[in-house]
Amino acid sequence: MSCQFYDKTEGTWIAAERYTAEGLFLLTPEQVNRCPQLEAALRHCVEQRLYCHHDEMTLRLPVALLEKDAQFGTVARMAHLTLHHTPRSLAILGEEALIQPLQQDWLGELRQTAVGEVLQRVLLNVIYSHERVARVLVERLQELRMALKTSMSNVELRQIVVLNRDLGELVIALRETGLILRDALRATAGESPAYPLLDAALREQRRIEEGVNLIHERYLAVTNAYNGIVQNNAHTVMKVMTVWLALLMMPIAFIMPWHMMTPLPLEHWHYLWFGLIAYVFGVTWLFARWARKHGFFSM
Amino acid sequence: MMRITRDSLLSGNANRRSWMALVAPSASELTQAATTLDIPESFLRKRLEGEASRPLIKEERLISLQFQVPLPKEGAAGQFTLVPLSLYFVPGYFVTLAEREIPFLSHLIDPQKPSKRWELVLRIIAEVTRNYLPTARSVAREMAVVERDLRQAQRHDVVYRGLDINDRLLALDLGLLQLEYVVSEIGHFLPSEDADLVEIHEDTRIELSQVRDQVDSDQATINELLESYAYVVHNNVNHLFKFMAALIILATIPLFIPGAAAMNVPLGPFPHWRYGFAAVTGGLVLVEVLTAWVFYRKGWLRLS
Repeated sequence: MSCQFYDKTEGTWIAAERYTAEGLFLLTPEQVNRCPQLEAALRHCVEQRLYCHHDEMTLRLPVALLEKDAQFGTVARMAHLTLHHTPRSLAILGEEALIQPLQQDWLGELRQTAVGEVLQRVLLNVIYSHERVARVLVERLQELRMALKTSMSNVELRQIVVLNRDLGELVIALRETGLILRDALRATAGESPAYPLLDAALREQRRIEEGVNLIHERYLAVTNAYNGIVQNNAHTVMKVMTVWLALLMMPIAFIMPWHMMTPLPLEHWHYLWFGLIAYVFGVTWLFARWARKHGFFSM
Repeated sequence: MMRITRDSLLSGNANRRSWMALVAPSASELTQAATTLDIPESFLRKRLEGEASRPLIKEERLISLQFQVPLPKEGAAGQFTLVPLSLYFVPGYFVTLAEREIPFLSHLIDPQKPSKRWELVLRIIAEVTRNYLPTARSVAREMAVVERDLRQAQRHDVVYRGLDINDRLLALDLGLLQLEYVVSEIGHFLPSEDADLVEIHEDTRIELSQVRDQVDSDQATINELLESYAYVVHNNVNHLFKFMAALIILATIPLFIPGAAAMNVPLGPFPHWRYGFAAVTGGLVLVEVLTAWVFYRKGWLRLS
């Protein structure tokens, strides 16, 4: 992907050779070395997350992404989006996985949009990325929770632990975003056009942080119940195996007296063998019925 | 469905506005509404699609608010749907947009007694807040049913029901959080000289905070209880284990008492003794009864 420049007059994105410090640009990290104006600001920003110089501002914000992990399925991943904002330009720098959806989501709705408004949109997009990922993680948690119904292994539990940790990472990343925005707001003059945009983004960040934090806390709090469910699955299997063991013991126990080397009751009765078989299995059957009624066999 | 009621409320400068109610609008109705209101159609569509956005947006000629309204499901106690309700103020119009009919809106928006726009918004929010309260109570009441079933439960279904209650309370809490944000943001727009409006705002804020505290406390309770639920289910299953282990011990006794008289060795007088069977079986029954009595006294033969 080459450096993308948004042509306002045409309302389309076009490939640009270099960053020209005017307009809206999308860049990947590999393209930065072709932009000497950006390089210094970005270098500072990597160290400090926020770099302000005169009316230029560079922010490095954490963005949440989803990715497939061979062991744990869908998990969250943190990437960083760097925004270099001047009153006349906005350069957005990030890996291709971040840049492409941003570009796709905006196309068609960017016409006549001022740089300041685009900055606000990007900031909101960064903030909402955490909420979007949190929603997917919650859906995944709910799926895993249902899978736990029959699970006796730790596979689902381990995945739940990873997802809970990912939710925690989202909260931390949102807090980090809040700190950067707060610092950016402090460093911006009250009369600057960027001030109300940063202020609105900061308020939205607080709201989303509170929501994601609430989800994280509530889901983390019930993790012990999941342990209980898995243990209960193993207990249930043992319960059913034990009731079968008891059932098999019963005919042996009831028939044992007729093994004795003594004169036995009804020993001359022609049908004694059939009678005894009917007796022991009848008693066992009655016990099985009673056990079934009391849920001994329920899995 | 699109419905327009003329002169339903007052604008900031006391001009009358019409109320446009959009309930599960079709694509053509959305286009028609956007044209009438002279706003981009995406403003309406995105809210309807539930895309993440700020709950309160103020632009040059538009104010938009969104929050979730809990509506109970018919015939299912404790079950509800959170319906996103969007409000728009554009010149000449007040718009409500939702996927379902919100029953109380038509009571609150009365063309005979038109109210000011922020007063109306606060009254709608107060009504929504009041809707959260019984919904949260009915969800929390389900905990009592779960606890009743817990006594006999051997499976984790009760734990799942607890988890479901927890999820529903979380959804309500998130809805209230959004509402709290909207109310706090509205505070910036209210004219400070209008004491009545400021008072309604403060009342709504307090009411909202109380409902949220209650939902939070219900949720904290169920979070704490869920672990105990799992242990109660374990205990119920363990009772069965204990009972069956006692039963297996009782079933093992006949293996060695009659077994002693069944060996393939000379058994003394036993093979010819007329009362041999009765004596050994009587001894067996005695040992069984004694063992069972001891087990019963220790509680090993009780199921609950």
